[in-house]
Amino acid sequence: MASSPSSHQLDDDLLRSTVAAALAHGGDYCDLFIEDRDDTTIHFDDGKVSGITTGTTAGAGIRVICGVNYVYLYTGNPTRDALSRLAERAAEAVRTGQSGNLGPLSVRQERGIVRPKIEPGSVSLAEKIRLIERANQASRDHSPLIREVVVRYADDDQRVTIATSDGTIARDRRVHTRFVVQSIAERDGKKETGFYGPGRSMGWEFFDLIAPEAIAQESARIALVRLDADYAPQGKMPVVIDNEFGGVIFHEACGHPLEATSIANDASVFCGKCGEKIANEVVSAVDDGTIPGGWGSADYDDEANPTQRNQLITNGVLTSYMIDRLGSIKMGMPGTHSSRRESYKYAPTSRMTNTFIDRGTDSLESMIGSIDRGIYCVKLGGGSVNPPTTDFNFAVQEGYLISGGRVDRPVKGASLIGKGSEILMNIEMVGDNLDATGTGMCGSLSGSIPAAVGQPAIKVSGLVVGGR
Amino acid sequence: MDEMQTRLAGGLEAIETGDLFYARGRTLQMKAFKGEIASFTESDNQWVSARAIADSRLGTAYTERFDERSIAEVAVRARENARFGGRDPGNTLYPSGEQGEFDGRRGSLDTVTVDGKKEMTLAAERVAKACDPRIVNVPYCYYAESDGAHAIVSSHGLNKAQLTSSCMCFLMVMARDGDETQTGAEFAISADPSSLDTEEAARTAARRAIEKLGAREIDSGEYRVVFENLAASELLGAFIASPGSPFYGETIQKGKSMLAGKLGTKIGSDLFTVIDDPARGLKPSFFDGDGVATRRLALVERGTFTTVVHNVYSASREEDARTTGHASRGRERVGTGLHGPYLENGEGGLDRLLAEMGSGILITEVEGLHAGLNTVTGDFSLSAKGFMVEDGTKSYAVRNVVVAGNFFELASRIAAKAGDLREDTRGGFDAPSVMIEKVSVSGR
Repeated sequence: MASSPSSHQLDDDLLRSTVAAALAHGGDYCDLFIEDRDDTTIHFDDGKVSGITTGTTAGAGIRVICGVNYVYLYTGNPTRDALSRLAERAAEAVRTGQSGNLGPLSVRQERGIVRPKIEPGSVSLAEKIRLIERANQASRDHSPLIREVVVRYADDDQRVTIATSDGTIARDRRVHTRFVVQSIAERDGKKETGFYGPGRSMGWEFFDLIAPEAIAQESARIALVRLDADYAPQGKMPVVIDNEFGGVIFHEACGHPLEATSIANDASVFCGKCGEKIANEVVSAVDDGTIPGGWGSADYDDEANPTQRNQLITNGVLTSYMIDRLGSIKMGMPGTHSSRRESYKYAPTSRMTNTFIDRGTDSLESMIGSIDRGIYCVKLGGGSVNPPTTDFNFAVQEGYLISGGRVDRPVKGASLIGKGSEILMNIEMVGDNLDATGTGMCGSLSGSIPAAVGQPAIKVSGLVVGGR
Repeated sequence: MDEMQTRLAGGLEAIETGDLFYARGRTLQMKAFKGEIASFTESDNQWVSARAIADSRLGTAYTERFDERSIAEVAVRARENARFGGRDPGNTLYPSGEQGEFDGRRGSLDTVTVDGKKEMTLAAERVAKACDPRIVNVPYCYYAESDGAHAIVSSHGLNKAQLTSSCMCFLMVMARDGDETQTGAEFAISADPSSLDTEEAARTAARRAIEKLGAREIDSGEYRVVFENLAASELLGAFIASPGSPFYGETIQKGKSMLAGKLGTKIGSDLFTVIDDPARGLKPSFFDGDGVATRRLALVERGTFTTVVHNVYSASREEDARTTGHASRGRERVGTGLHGPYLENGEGGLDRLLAEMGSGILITEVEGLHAGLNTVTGDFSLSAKGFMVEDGTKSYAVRNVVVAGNFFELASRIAAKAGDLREDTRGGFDAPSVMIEKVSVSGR
């Protein structure tokens, strides 16, 4: 069996002839996506390196759109033979009769939004492990109550080539580096975990931005706060959600229902609401794939379009959805260059990149001061949403009771429950401390992708707090 | 398969001490939407993961490239990575040269043509829509099938391979009445598409969505609760079958299990019997990720914790422990995983269980499982959907409800079970409907 070439080695003619072959029996549009990717992950646990994995992903996927429907075929190990077989199978599956057309060739140039200064592959495993050991030490030095430190280092380097029947060819490179520390504190047999795991579309220079010690100390700090926490009260109350990862609330409950995946299938409360007020007027929100080094950034989306900044909500009015090619066809609206996928194993679809509520004017103090009894959430955990209803639920990792306008004791075991459509209206105050670097992996139809979340602190009236 | 095993054997030469795990999956998936096949996906994918062990140090590498050179390279990379790993007595290979080929396919996926499968999928959408005028949309209506193979070879001469295949359908239906929108979902799974009842699944999904309309908020308080089979499966499975399950030797050794030191003691009510049966369902496991033969085991018997679940790694770290055949294997690492775990079935239908409860809440769905629970402490706080139960029968649907509690308390408070255990529940754990004496529910 022949070895598959790296995606950037394939010449334009081969790419174009493969796309043409897939359209041989019909179809309105075709795109070919070829990737090869290197991953390195190092796990550190129990005071030592517990696992090192390096991996190679290589594959190709071909998609043909006919009307509002599509065919998608993919295979690993994309040799030249495999590509031609894939195109033939795609053409067979389409069978509409007339052959599709290819647009004039247009090769897109690198834009420099993601450009690693120090390639992760150029740094030795020994050096990566030294960084992990520094984090381990910093967490343990933070407090004698820290009993265990788990670190996960991960970098990936993905080269993609995308060729479309419009004639566009884009070659892009996406590089990510992430450093995740979990610190476990123990006192009187009670254990609590603190978690912090920032990442960027950067190479090794990421660690000039954030030292591993700082990441470790933050996780240790959260674990200690949780150790002192008592269970949260239950019921409906005002909540202040602080910046950075606090933005996961907007991502889950409002971002997903604004994706074409939900809108084009009539499965969102925001269908047909463009130009209408869907949020309190203090709310403006953005999805911006062009932030240099941003965790969810890229030069090109997965349909070879240059990424862009999309203003989703302007002063409470819905101004844009996030739309991919297929969504654009179904909705009769222009695309917003929002097409993404985990890998060639998924057809691309509308996804978020770096999504955040934009800066407001209120101070964090004034928000807390305005609440007699409520919750102040400093760090949220993960969450989920049911797109048709926008019902959401997410965990509070670090939270405090607000009592008489002041931050009182820490609370744990709380979750915030509500509806995306309602919370947007109930955001009463938006802070001035925007941080759009919350780091998460977002799972949806086209797989798990790096997506940044963010916001300044916000005050929401009447959220349901579930505790015990 | 034979060609692949020959190629893997080539990789073994480069790895010295270690194993190579191979997986291949072929899938077909289609989605019906508004009377058309909106998407049609076909795939063929394979990977090899090499695990090298040298001086009790572990290194792993994987590749999706399949020429002989790439497989030899992946073995070499695993060995190089092992140089940087920490020493751990758990890093050892299953010392066996066992051989075996197993066919776990319970039927053929070819009993229905591709066009026939398209028609089944379209019919399911039609049936769901026709159930009630308030069904406004069917956002998800899928048919999916997969046939898979995996194999393991090791430097001790181990050489095993197995095949599985299955097909399933999944629907999510939206019902609307005025401003209120509710969803209902259902799946069906089969070894053979000709016996996959997609239309019955469609009717069930539609019924679930319609039933939930008219939902009201309820007062916070402590209630008697019945978790319906699928909700019980998801909730119990999120602890028992999670990667950090308290039943795993690995979790116990890390000090992250509340079950540490509790083997042989009572951890649940008499109705809490948890079995892992690798032969159960449509994806049987004949050997685990270490290559160890699997067998049926009770994790908990009538409330007593009877088995700590081990793979070779965790068993090798304890003096008297032996692997129970529970290594899971992905490309990146070997972990611990159950094969076909379930809570032993009860008797009678859900109706009988509700009658026994009298008044309380029937929880049919729990949401937010990946955020609202802590597998270490067992605490959970999850938004839920369900129904008020009055005089032993389902009354109105409830909304904005959060159920909170603790897994270990829940296990001790199982007061009754129905006989409605299903197979192959999504989420990796099957349970019948269970009644819990006291659960904290927050509403308005």
